[in-house]
Amino acid sequence: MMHVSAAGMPPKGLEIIVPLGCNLEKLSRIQTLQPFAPEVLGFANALSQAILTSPSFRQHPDAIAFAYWARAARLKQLKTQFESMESTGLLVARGTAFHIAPSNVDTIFLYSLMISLLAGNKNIIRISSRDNDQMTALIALIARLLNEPTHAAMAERLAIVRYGRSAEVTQWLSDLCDLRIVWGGDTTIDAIRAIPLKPRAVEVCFADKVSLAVFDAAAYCAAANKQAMAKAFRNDSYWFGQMACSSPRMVVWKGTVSVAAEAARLFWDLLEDELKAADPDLSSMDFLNKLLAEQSFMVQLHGKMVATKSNASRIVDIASLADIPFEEHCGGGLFLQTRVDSLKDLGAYLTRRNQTIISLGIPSGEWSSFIRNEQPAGIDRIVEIGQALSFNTVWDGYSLLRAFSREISIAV
Amino acid sequence: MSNLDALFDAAVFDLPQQKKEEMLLAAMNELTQHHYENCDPYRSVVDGYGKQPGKAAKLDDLPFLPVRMFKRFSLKSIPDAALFKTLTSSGTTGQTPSQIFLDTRTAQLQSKALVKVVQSFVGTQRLPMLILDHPSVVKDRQSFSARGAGILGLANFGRDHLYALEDGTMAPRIDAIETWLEKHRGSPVLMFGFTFMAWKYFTLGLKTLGRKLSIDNAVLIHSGGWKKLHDEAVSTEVFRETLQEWAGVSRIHNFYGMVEQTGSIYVECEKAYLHAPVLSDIIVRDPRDWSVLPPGKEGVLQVLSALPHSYPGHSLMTEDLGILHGIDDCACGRKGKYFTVKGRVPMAEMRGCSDTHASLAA
Repeated sequence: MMHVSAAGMPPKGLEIIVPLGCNLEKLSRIQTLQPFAPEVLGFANALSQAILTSPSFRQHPDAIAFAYWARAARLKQLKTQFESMESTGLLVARGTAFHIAPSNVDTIFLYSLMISLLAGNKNIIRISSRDNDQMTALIALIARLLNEPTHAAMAERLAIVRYGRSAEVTQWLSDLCDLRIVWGGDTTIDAIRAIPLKPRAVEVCFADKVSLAVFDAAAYCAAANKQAMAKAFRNDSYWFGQMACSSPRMVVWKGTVSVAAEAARLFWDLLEDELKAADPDLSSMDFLNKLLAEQSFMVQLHGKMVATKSNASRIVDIASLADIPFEEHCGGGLFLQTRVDSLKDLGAYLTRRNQTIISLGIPSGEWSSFIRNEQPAGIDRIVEIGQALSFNTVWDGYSLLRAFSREISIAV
Repeated sequence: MSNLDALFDAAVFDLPQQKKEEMLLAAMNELTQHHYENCDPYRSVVDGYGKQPGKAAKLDDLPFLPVRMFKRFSLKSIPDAALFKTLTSSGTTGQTPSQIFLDTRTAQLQSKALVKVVQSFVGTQRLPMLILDHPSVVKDRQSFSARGAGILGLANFGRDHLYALEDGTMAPRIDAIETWLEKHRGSPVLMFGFTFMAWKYFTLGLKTLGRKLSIDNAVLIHSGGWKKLHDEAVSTEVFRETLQEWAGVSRIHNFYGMVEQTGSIYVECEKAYLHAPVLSDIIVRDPRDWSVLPPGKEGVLQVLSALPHSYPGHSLMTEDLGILHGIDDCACGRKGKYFTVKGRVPMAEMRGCSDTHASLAA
């Protein structure tokens, strides 16, 4: 494989946004830090505090959620967990990480960056060319912090860049890195993978994922707090236009035909009430997209519409989980629905494409048995209703801190 | 006499809405049944909504397909051997275009309906026709673009057609036009073109050349949407005034139509409202729950047409916003529903983890 030499100036088109005047080659050569180094924890704390106390982030709940995740107490817990992962030696950084952030969920780049910093890496993050208020505010904040003398060690070890489509630039940056982290879905991954890495570099990719809810019908019918569940499910499903990899786009009822029918009736009614009380702000085009998607499912899966009073939620009943063309799912409050007798029936249909199961009324032990017995090809995490979008350091089946670090075994 | 024949026999803009709805409903119910029986995907959709084909009690109750279904699926109610022509829509770059499958019957019905509507505005004589486009637009006879199909459809009831623009440069062929006008001095003239072509290449073309034409006694019919002009800050008034100044044309009728329902055109009356002719109708719906909106309220336009027999295009949800202004009481004297089109439904924001622009990668 031919590698374009990374010596000399970066190719044209590469814009270094933060920090100003950063030399990327110098960054790639500077020493890594220890995992959970005090400089990194200090920076994380400063960033977290700044977001939580600044008025400019008040209308940006994703940024707030990140800041809350990155607070000192939480990171202390992560450090303890990380240290317990060391088995035969020591965990150290991999070196220079080159992140390709997704264009539509701003805060992913922050999680990716932070975990990689905690692992001790130096980082070059390519962000999308799309501009919005939240990104502008976050970049400005990071720039400000990196200017402070306290964070000098960070300023030497992190750069945020932007460039239009250019295999040349991607190659140049890939040649500098020891770890390439690709967010942004299947098409992005295909394009990036076409550009080779150095032999000793590793790659972590986050492909297109689809998530689903699995609810025990009888448990739901017996639940006392159905209204709270409707609210929780609304939070799971309507953020990011229902198109985040963790957004539930399908609901599977576990139970008998009659109990599942009753549970479904109650559930969708209460969701409609919740949507009426808290408008998800869908656009006319969202409704037209759903009209097309639901009819596509009718044609391809013989889906049957479940009646709703408004178009805020559209529900299509399908007979089985087989061969669902998820690429036709447009989000915006569209749900496929089906029923199974038991969890066992689910096993064969879960593919690598499925990420999160949002669970209701099914205890952890039952899920563990299911996984051990059925060995499903898919799913990366199982969470309680309401927790779909909460970020975790175990993501898409990767223990991120572990994936971003390497272990040096000591056997003397 | 069939429902369809009765509609063709009726006066194109003279039937009171109630009477029209009775006749149109009967024709539409027949079509739903016909497409249900002959187009599997369509049947799946009707069954998907739990509707009984052919049993709608009013036009509002008919199932409707979003226009993009014709981009996603091949929808036809005829065997392949009966295929006469395929129309394609212009899509945005990268999108698959709509495919509309016509048999000879549907193509003829479309032609017949178009003639009926246009003749009500320009009279029954075949007029000399000036086409505001270039000759190569209709080159490929097997598969037509929306522009090509539109031109050929309307060309039928003009004669001695002249294409006003040069192939390649798109400049107005001044000398050819003046010779042609001289030849037809004294006769009314029919002009047709797509709105953007009429503006950018014909009107502005004349302006650039500094040559005014005097096409008095002409009627211009144009279509294609105002978006491109509005994007260039050209209002409908500026369009009309400039055209009048540089070509002398004062009778200008915009019309609204789409490749998914060729032949069903809604023409602008003297009071600047679009009118539904007897074989078509519109329903304005609230996108938040698809309920029918009353006059005065803006919503998404659903279009109905009694013409599509070879493909299930008789009841469609467009991606256009519009307002119904009234029924049977337009100041121009025509009966039926009259409305205006505001423009396209704005694009939705992109969301989710995946880069929907693959071009951002690598």
